Amino acid sequence: MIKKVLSLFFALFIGLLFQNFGGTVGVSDNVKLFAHTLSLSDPAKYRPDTTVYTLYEARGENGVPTEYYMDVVSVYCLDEVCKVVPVRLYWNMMGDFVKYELRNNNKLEKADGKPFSSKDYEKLQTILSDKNSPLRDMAIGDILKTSSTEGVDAISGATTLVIDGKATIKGATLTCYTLWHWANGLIKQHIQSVTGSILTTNQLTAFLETGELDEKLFAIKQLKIHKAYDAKVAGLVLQAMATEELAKEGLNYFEQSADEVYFDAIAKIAANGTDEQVKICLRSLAGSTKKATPAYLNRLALQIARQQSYQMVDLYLELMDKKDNRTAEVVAGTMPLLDREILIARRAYWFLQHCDLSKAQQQQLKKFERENKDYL
Amino acid sequence: MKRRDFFKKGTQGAIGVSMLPVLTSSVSASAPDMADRSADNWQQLGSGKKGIPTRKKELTFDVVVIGAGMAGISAAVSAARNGANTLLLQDRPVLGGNASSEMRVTVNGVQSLNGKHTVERETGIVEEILIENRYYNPQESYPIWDHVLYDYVVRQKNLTLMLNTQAIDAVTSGNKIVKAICWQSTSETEFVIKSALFVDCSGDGLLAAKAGAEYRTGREGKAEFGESFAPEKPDGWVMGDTLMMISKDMGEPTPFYPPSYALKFDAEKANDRAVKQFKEGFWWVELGSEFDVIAVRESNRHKLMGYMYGVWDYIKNSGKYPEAANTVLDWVGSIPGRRESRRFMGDYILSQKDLEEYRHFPDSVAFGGWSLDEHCPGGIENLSDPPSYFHARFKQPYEIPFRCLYSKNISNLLFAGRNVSVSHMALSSTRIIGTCAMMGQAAGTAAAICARKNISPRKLGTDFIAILQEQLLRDDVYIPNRPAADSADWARKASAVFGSSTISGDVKLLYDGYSRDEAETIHHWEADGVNAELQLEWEKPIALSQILLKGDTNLQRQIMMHKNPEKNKNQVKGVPPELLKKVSCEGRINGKWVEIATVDNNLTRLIKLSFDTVNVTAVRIKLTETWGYKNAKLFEVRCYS
Repeated sequence: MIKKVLSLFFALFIGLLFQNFGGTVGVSDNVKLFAHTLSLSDPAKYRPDTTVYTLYEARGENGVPTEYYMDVVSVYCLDEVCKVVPVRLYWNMMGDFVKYELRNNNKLEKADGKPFSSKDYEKLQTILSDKNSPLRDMAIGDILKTSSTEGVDAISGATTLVIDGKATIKGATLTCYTLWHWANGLIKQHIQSVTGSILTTNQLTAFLETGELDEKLFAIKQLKIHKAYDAKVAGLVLQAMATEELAKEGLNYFEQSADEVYFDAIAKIAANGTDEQVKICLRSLAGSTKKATPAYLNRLALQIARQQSYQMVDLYLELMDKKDNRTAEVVAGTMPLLDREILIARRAYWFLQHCDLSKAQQQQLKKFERENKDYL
Repeated sequence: MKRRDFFKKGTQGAIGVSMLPVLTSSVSASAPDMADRSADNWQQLGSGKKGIPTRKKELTFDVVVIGAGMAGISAAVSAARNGANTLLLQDRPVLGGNASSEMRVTVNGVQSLNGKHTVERETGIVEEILIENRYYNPQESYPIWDHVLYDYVVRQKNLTLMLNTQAIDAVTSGNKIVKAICWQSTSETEFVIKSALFVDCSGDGLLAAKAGAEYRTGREGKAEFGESFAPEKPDGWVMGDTLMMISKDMGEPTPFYPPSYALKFDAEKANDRAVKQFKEGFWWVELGSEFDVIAVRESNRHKLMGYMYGVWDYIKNSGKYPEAANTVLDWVGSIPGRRESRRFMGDYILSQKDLEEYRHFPDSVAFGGWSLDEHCPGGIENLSDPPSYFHARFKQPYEIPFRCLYSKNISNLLFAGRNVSVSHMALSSTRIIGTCAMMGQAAGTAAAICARKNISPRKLGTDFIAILQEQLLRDDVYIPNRPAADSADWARKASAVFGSSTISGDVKLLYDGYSRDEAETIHHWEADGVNAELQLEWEKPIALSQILLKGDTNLQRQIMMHKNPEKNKNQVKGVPPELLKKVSCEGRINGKWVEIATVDNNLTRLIKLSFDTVNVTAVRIKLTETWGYKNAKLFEVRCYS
C-alpha cells in the first residue's frame, strides 16, 4: 500500500535535485521533493540548544510521502580527538530509520584514526536499525567516559564503561551513539507530524484496517488532529482498539470528541471489551469532565454483576461513588455481589452502606454484616 | 594517675583486680598517662583560682564504630537506625576518609561490568548519601561534600559523632575488647569508651591490631588460594598510597616553578603512565611498601609530594604539553589516599576464585564488581611495570560473605572497608569505596543485632544469618541470589494487589523479593504516567504502621561526584529524575479511605511511610510526582505492623 523504500537510483536522483535546486523544492517525473525546516538538539551535546536542520520529503504522485532524508554530522569533536563526517540518513514515511549514506567519498573513522572497514559499515547499518539498542538509554556523559583512553582506577575515578559489543563499533562508540540518536530520536515525531498533515482521512483510516501496530497508533493520533469523528471513522477507531496500547490511544481520540461519541464508545467497550480495555475506559470516565447522565451510568452499572475480578468490581463502584450515582438501578445490580467471594462482597457492602435501600435490602446488608464481622 | 593505676582502680572501683577477668592493654606500665594533668600550673582568671583541667571521660555505648570513611559512616548509621546507641569516631576533622575533601578519592562502585549491565550501583546508605550530595551540593564542591556527610551523620538518632578522635588502644578481657582508649586532639581529652561491640572501619585498624586481632599484610602466593594472578611466592608488597590534585585553567599562560622537594619524573620509562589527566591528578603517583606501609607513611607522603610536583614540572616545563600552558594547580592533597595496609582475618578469607566464579555464600551480605585492579609493587618507583595490571573484569556482581566482616579471634570485633578478611588479590577489587560502604552497612547492622541479642558476630553468622540478611534487604541493600522473604511483610500476604495502569513490568514483581532489575530479569512495575495508584487488599483487617517503597534511581547510571566536574558535566544532574518525589498513602478504615501518610520532596530510594498504627483492609499508595521522569516506577512495596 505504501512504498517504504525508494530505489538507490531514485535516492541519488533526489540528491542531485537538492544540489541543483538549492534546497527548495525539486521535481521529477513522478516525485516532488519538499524541504521542511526543523530546530533540533544535537544528540551528542548535553546542552539543549537547537540548530536548524532541513528535512527533505520525497512525495509520490498519489500525494503520499515515500521517504525522508536529512544530513547530519556523525560526531562532534571532543578534545580534538574525533572526526566530523557528514552522513545522510533516510527514514520511511513513519519515521523509521531505513539506511544511511556517505556522500562525496566521505569515510567514517575510528578513534585511532583507522578507517571503517566494510564490515564496520555493515555493522553500523545493523546498529542503527535496532530500535531497542542499549544506546537508547545511555546518557552522552556515559559515552564520553567510554571513549576515554585512560585507565581504570579507584583512586583516580577514571572510568571506562563497557557497552554490549553488538551495540557499538570498537573505537567508534561516539559515532554509533550520535547516529543512533539521530536515526531513532525525536525525528520520528517530526516525520510523523509531516506525514500526518499530508495524508487524507481516508488514507489514515486505511491504516486502521490493514496497518501494523505502529501505523495504527499513528493513524489514531492523526485522526484526532484531523478532528475526524464521523460515525464511520469513529467506528473504525473503536474496532482498532484491540490492544491496551491501542485502547489508550483510542481513548485519547475519543476524549477529544463530542460527548455522545465519547459516551457511546465507552459503553460499547464496557459491553464487549477485555478487562484491560474496560479499565482504561472507566478511568477515563472517572477523570472526565464530560457529564454522564444517571441513565447512562445506570446502563453502565448493568455490567457490574457480570464482573469476575475484584479489581473490576472495585473500579465500577469507585466510578459510581465518584459520580455520586447510587440509584436504585445501581443498588439492584450490586446487591447480588454480597454473595460473592469476600473481597467483592465486602466492596459491595461498603458501597451499599451509602445507598438508599429497601427494608429487605437493609436486612440483607445487616445479615452480611453479622456474618462477616471479622472481615470488615 | 598512671595508666597502670587506672586499670586497677578505673571502672572496677574498690574491687580487687584479681577477682575480675584479666584486662590487658598494649600500653606499657611505664607509658605516661595522657589524661594526667596534675603538673598543670593553670591560673583561671574567670574564677580567680588555680585549677587542674579535666581531660578524661568515660562513655558507654552499644556499638562503637572506629573510622568515619564511607564504610564507617555506613556502619554507624545502620547500627544507630537498627536501635543501637552508637558512637562514630573519626581521627580527622572531616568525615569521608579517602572520599573526603582531604583526599578526594571518587566514590566508585560496581560500574565496569562486562555484561548486560555495566553499572550495578550500590543501594542503601551509600546511595542515600550520593543522592543527598546531588541535591545539596550541585556545585560538586569537596568542602561542601564534607558537610553533606556531616549533616547526614549528625541528624541520625542514636548516633554520637566524635571528630579528631583516634582509638589508640584496646583494653581486652580474654578474647573480647572491653574498652577503647581514645585521644581527642582538639580537646586534649582521653576518652575511655566501653562497648559491647566494636566495628573497626579505620582502614589501618589500629584498635583491632592492638586488641590482638589476627591480620596480614602483603601478597599471598599463588598456592594458598589457587589465585592465578598472585605472585608465585608470598611477599610483603601492598598497593600504595596516592596523592591527588585538582587544576584549573587561568585563561592565559601561567608559569610553574617546582618546589625544592620535587622529584624528577622519568617519562621515557614511565610504562603506560598517561599524563593526560591534567585536571584531577595521577592515580599512578603511588608508593607502597614491601614490609610495613604504615611505618613509612610519613616518608612516603613526603616522597609522593615530590613525585607529584615532579610530574607536574614535567607537564609544565618539558615543552611536550603546550595544552597545559594555561593550567595551574589549584589544590594538592596533603594526605595520600590509601589502598591497602592491614587485612584482618575473619572466619573466611575471600579470594580471587570466589570472585571469578561468582561463588554463592549462604551468608552473603554485600556485593562487589570492580575489576581485579591490582597496582604494581613499588608504584612510581617501579616504572618497569605498568601502574596497574587490570587483571580481569567481571561480568556480574560477586558476593561477599559475612564471615569476612568479623575477627576470627576477637569475639566482639567486626570490620568493614579495605581492612576486611580478603586476600590481597581480592582486595584489588573489593577496596572500591562503594563496595566498602556496603560492607559497612552489613557490619553496622550486624553489630546492632548482636548488641540487641547479646551474641557474638560469629553466633549471628551461624545461627541468625537470615535475620541480618532480611534486615539489610529491608534497608535497601541488594544481595545477589538472596531474595527477601520477610514473613513480617504484609504485602506478601495481600489477597489482591493492582495498579492503576501498567506500562512495563507487573505489580506482582513488587513483592518477589528483588528490589532492582537484574541484568536478565526485571523486578519492577511502571505505571503509565504519574498520578499512579497501587492498591493492596487483605481479607481481614490488619494493623499497619509502616509502608516501605523502593523507587527507581536508575542503578545503571553513575551519580558520584568527581574531582574534575568536567567528567560529570554530561551526567544527568540533580536527584535522579526517575525517583518519586511525592507519595501519599490512604488506608481503608471501616470501609472509608483515609489519608494516613505523605512524603514530599523525597530524596531516598527507600521511601518510608510511617504512621500511627491503623487497622485497614486495604491501602492505596498514590505516586503523585517524580523528579522529572514521565512515569511512576517502583521495585518493591512492603507493609509492616
